[in-house]
Amino acid sequence: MASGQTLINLENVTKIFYTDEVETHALSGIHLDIKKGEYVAIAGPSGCGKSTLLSIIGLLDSPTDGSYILNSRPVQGLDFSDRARIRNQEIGFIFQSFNLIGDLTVYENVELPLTYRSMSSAERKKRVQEALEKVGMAHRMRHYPSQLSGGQQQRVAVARALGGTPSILLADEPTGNLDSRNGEAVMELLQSLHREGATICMVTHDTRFAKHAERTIHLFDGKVVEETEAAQAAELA
Amino acid sequence: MLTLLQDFRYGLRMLRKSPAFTAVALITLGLGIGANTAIFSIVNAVLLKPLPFPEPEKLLYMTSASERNGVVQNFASSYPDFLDWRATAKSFSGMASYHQDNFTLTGSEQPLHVAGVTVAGNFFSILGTKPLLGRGFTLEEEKPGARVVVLSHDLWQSAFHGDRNIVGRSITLDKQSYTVVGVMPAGFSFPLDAEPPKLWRTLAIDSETKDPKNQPAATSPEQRGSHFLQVVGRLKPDVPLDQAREEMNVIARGLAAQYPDTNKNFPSVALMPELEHLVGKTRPRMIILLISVGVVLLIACLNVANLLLVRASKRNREIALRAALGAKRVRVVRQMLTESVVLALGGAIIGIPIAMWSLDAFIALNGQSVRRIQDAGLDGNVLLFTAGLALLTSVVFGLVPALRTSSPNLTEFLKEGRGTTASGSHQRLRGALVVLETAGGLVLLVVAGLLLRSFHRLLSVDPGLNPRNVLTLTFDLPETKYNDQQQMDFYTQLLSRVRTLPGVVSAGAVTPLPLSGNNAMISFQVEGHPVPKSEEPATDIETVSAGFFKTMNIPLLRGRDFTERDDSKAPGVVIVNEMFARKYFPNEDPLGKHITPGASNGGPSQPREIIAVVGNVKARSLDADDVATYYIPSTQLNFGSMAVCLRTSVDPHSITSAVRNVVSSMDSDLPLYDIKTMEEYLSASVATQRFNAMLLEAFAGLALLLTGIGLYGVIAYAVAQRTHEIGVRMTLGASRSQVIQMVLKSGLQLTGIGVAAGVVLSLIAARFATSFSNLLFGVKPTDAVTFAAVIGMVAAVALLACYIPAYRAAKVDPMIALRYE
Ligand SMILES: Nc1ncnc2c1ncn2[C@@H]1O[C@H](COP(=O)(O)OP(=O)(O)OP(=O)(O)O)[C@@H](O)[C@H]1O
Ligand SMILES: [Mg+2]
Repeated sequence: MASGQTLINLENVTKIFYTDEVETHALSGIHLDIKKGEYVAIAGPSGCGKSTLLSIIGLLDSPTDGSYILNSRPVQGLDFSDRARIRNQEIGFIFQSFNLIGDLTVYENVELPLTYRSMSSAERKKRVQEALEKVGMAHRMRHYPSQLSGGQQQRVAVARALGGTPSILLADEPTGNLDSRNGEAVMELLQSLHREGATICMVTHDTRFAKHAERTIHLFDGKVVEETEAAQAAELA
Repeated sequence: MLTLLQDFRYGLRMLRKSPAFTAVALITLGLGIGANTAIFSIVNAVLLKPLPFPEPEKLLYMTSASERNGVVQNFASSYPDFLDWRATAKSFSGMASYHQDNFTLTGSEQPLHVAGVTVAGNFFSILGTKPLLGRGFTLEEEKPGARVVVLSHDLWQSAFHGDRNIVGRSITLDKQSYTVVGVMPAGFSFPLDAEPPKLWRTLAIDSETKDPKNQPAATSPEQRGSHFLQVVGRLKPDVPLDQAREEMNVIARGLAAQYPDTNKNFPSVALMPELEHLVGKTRPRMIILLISVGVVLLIACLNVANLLLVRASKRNREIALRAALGAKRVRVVRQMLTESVVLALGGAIIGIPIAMWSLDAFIALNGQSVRRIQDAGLDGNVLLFTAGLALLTSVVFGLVPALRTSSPNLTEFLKEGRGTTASGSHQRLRGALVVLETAGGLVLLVVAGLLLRSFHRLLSVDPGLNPRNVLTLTFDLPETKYNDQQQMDFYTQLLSRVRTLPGVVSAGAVTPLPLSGNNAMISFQVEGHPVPKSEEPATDIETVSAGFFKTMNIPLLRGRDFTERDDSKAPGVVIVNEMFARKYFPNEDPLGKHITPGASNGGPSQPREIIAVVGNVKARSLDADDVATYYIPSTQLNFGSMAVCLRTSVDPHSITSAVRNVVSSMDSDLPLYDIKTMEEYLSASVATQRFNAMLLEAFAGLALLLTGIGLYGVIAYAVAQRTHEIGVRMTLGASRSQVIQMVLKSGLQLTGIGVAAGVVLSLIAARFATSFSNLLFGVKPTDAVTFAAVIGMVAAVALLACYIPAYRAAKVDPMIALRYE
C-alpha cells in the first residue's frame, strides 16, 4: 500500500541523554525510512530506545546527532513554535495511557488539537464528527473520559489523532493498558485505518501485534538489529 | 482530653512536616490577626473603654438646642441659662459649667503659658474623681472675689516639682494671686475633647464686674444671649435619660417664654452621654475601619483555607487509610480542626507583635486626629479579642477543608489511576475561594480609593488664603495690666516692629485664626432691615488688624483694606466676604451699607460701614461650605488674644526667636504659644481624613497582596497538577503562547468573576452605607475613575500572579506525555 514517496527519513540519528555525569546512549546511528501509506512497527525489549525514537519522529525531542527529513523538509534546528505547528498538523499521537483530558468531554478532547490551528468551528465540528464515527464513538460525544472503558478511551484517543488529518500516526504501545480483547479491537481499528491509506508507526514490544504491520524494525540497545517484512514477522511469531 | 492532646501533638507534627505551608499560613494569619488586633485596640480605647470617672454613663453633656429654619443645632449655653437650669432641674444630682481659658503663670523661672478651665464650684464633685492632694472646689468659691485653683498632676510636677506642700500656697496667674486648694491625680482630664487642661479655677472671676470698663459680669442676667459655656450634668441614679430630657425641655420652654429676646430660638436642651459627645462622630469611621480590617482577615482565612485544600488533596490517601482503619468522620474532622486551631493560635502569637508595632506607627503618624487613641494598647480586653478571633478564624478557614477531606471520594482515586487528568472538584472550590477573596479585596480597594480621592480633593480645595510661608503665634495680654485700648495699642506697636524684621514680608493679627478650629459667631442688624432681637442673623465674625488680608493673601475684591487710622476714634467700619455680600445684600451693592454687630468694648454697639468685600476663606474646614463672615478692625474691637501672622521670605520657623525678642522687649512676662505655620494648621485640619485614607490604603494594599498570593497559589497549584495535561496538549501541538494564554485565561476568569462580584458588592455597599458617603468629599461612592483604577490594579496583580505559573507551564517538556504510566 506504500505509495513509494518517502515521508520520514532518519540518517545516522543518535540520541544521548546526559544525567548526573552518566551518558545514556538511547539511540546510536539509526537509519530509518518510512514511506507514505506504510505501517511500520518498532519492536524490542524494554529500554532499547523505542519511545525515544518515536519522540524524535514525533518532534517531541531532537536527536543529539544525525539528520531528520520529514515530508522532504529538514526539521533539525526548528524552533519550539515551528515544531509545535508541525506536530499539530503532520503528526497524530496515540499513547499507551490514552492521555485524554479528564475535564473535557469526548467531543472536546477530539476537538482539542484543532483548536490549536485557525479553523472555523463548523469545520472543526465536521472533522470531530467524522473522526468519532470512524472509531465508532460518535454516540459517546458528550461523555467524559472517566465514563468510558479503557478500550473506548483509546478509540477516542485514536479519533483525536485522526481529526487533524496528520501525515502519520505515531502510537506508543497503544494496547499496553488494555486487556487482550480491547487490545485486539484497537489493533483492528489501526489496521482498517491503514487500509484506508493512513501512515502508521507503532511501538510495541509485543510481537503478536507487530504482525499487523507491513514491516517491523527491531531495536536492541539503541541500534536497529533487524528489519522484517510482514510475512516474515508472521513466521517468526 | 487525652485524645485532644494527642490531636494537638499530631497537629504540631504535621505542621512541622510541611514548613513552607506552615510558614506561609502563619505569616498570612499573623498579618490578618495583627491588623485586626491593632484596629480593635484602637476601637476599644476610643469607643468602648468607659470614661475614667465613677459611673461615667451618668455624665451628660448638655447644650442649648436651637431650631432655626427647621434645622436643629446645638449651641453652648450661657451663664444665666446654666444657673437657671442648675437651680430648677430635679433629675440631676448636679450640673456644672466649664469653659476654657488661657493663663500666664509667673513667679517661678520663666513666665509660662498655661491652658486652663474656669468651672462651677461643684465641678469636681460631679465628676467624682478624688483629688490627689487637698480638695476640689465648693459652691462658696463661685462668689466674687474667690481666687482658688486646682492643679493638674502634670503642672504640679513640671512647674512645682511635685511639691507635696503646695496646697494652701499662693501662685500668680495673670498677675493675680490664687490659692492652690488641690492637685488632681495623674491622668485626670476634663474637658476631654481638648488638650488636657493644666489647671482649674472657679467661675468667681466671671461673676465680677470688669473694671474699668464697667462691663457686666458674665453671670449677670444681661448676658443670657452670650453662648460660650459648656455644661456637664450627673443624672440621679434612678432617673432615666428620657425623663431628664423631658424636664430640661420644660425648663428651656419656660426660659424661652420668659426671655423671648434671647431664648426664643432655644426652646430645648440636648442631652448626650459624655462618651457619645466625645467620640460619637468617630464611630462611623471606626466601624468602617473594623469592617475593612475584618475583610482583610477574611481574605487571609480564604488563603489559608486554600492552602489547606492543597494539602488536603495530598493527604487524601492518608485520610482514606484512616477511614479504612475505622476512624469516624467526626474524629477526622476534629483532627483537622485541631491543626487549624494550632495554626490560628500561632498566627495570633505572630500577630501580637505586628499589632503592637503597627499601633505605635498609627499613633505616631496620626495620633492627634482621633480622641482617646493615645490610650490604645494591648490590654486584657484586646488579648481576649485576639484569642477569640484566632479561634473563630480557625473555624472559618479550617472547617470547609476539614469536611472536604474527611469524606474522600474513593472512586476518584480509582479513576485517577487511569490516565485521565485529576478531577477538578477541589480545584473548583479553591477557585471559588479566590473569587471571594478578589471580591472582598476589590471592595476594600474601592473604599480606600474613594477615601484617597476624597482626601486629594480636599487638599486641592482652595482655602481662600495662601498658607505657604506664614508663621502664626499667640500670647495673652493680662487684662489686669492692659485695658482694651492698651491691648489694641500693644498689637499695633508690635506689628509695626515685627514688619521691620529681616525675612518678614508683611504682618497682621487675627482672632479667631482661620483653620485653627476656633470660630466666633455674633448676631447683627442690617441697616434698613430691622428685625426683633430674637430674629437677628448671626454669622462668623473675626477681628483683624491692618495688613492681615495682605499677609494671608486673601484677595481684596472691592473697596479698601483696614488701616491703623481705623481706630476707636474713627468711624466704625467693617469688611465682609463674598458670601456675606451675596447672602445679606443679594441684589444690592454692599459697599457703603451699614451693619450693627452685637459686640462692643463697653457701651452700645454701633453701626459700621461696609468698606470692602474680600474673598471667601475656608476658615472652619476645607470641606465646609463657604460661611458668610464679617471682619472688624482689631483697633476698634478688642477680642483679647490675637494670633500674630507673619508672611516671611525665609523658613517661617526661623524667625521665631526674633519675634520672641520683640515681644519680650515690650513685656518680658508674655510667653508665646501656638507657634505654628499656617501650613501646619491646614495639615492638622485634614488629619482625620488623612488617618482614614492611610489606614484603609494599608488594609487595601494588604488585601491586594493576599489576594495576589491566593490567586498565585491556586494557579500555581493548578499548573503543577496539570503538568501532564499540559504536556499532552503540547504533543497535540499547543504552542508555548497558547499554553500561557490558557493559564492566564483560567486565572483571569477567576479574577473576572471576583471583580464583577466585587463591583456589585461595592455598588450595593455604596448605596447603603450612607454614613460612609458622609466621609467622602467631592467624590461619589460610585466614582467611575476610582472603580476603573481599582479594576486595573486588581487586573495587573492578577496578571502578575498568573504569569509566573503560566510561564512555568510553558516550560513543560511535552515528552512527559509519553513517559506517564
Ligand atoms: N529523559 C531521559 N533522561 C535520561 N535517560 C533517558 C531519558 N529518556 C530515556 N532514557 C533512557 O534511554 C533509554 C531508552 O529509553 P526508552 O524510553 O526509549 O525505552 P523504551 O524502549 O521505550 O522502553 P519501554 O519498552 O520500557 O518503554 C533507557 O535506558 C532510558 O533509561
Ligand atoms: Mg517506551
